[in-house]
Amino acid sequence: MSVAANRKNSTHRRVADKKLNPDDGATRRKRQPHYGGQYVVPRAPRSDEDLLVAYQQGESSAFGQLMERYQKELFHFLIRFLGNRAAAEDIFQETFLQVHQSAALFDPQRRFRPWLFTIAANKARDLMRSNARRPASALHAPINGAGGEDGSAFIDLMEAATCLPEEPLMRRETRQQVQELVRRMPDHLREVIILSYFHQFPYKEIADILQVPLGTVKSRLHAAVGQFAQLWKNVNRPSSAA
Amino acid sequence: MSDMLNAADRAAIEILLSQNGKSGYIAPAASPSKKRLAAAQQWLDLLGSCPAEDPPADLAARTLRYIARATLDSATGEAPRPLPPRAQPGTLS
Repeated sequence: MSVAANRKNSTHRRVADKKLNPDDGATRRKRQPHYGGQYVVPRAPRSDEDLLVAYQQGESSAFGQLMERYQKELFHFLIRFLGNRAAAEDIFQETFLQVHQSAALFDPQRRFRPWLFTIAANKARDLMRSNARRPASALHAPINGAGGEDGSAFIDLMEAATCLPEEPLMRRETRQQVQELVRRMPDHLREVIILSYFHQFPYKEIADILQVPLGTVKSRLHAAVGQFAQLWKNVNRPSSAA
Repeated sequence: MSDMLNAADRAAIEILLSQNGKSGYIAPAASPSKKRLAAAQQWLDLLGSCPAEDPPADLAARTLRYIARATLDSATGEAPRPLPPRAQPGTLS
């Protein structure tokens, strides 16, 4: 049965119960099958994993709760990674469709959040691969402006800090420039820095999400920060040396 | 793949990210100076200013409808509908 149909039926059942037993709350609670006998009266927020198990067992509202819980965070990940609102919305929908379709396969011993982000990252990468056409950039700085094409040049973060803005959080144009530079980073570096810095996933979970070795996560993270600093330096060279 | 950061900067980034989150931190071999840590933190702060728009208010409801439709399609044997052509990653909208 579809999610929407489940939800509708669930609502109808509650209304019907009320009509049949307007004063018998205890009876109504006993009749509710949605919590599998484990959660007659929910007292505390349930874990993501519990919600997914509840959904597997027919509690359709649990799916909506999961989506509500991750709506903002997942969308932020997708829009930073894809750089496009419409694409982020599409992949968000595809991700939760996959969660719905694969809910029965989910191992409740594992954590839901990395599983969700694994699905989202895979779908986002598929979309980017299927659409290899990249837009012309407004900023024409080369990725490795200070060194070779293979990324072997080193940037010293302390030296390069001379071209940092004084109040990066205060200026809208600065934030837009950062967004543009993040978007220009190679996909495999951008995804790792977003997962690590913005979503604070442990390295091990990032390795699982991206299906790469732990060492690769770390090296990509270093390269991502280095490339970001290099890009920034290339387009924001100080007018006078510090 | 070559790292573009020197050993001290790599260590600084790892230390800062491990403080920032729960990054499965493993103590780096190099021990960066306070000045280098401060510089690395400035770069991370700048990176952290990257904005992200919030999802539209109706996204969850639309997603539920999308899933219901896809489930219905698969139940009736129709092929899943492809993503609409508007999704063009990499172009800021």
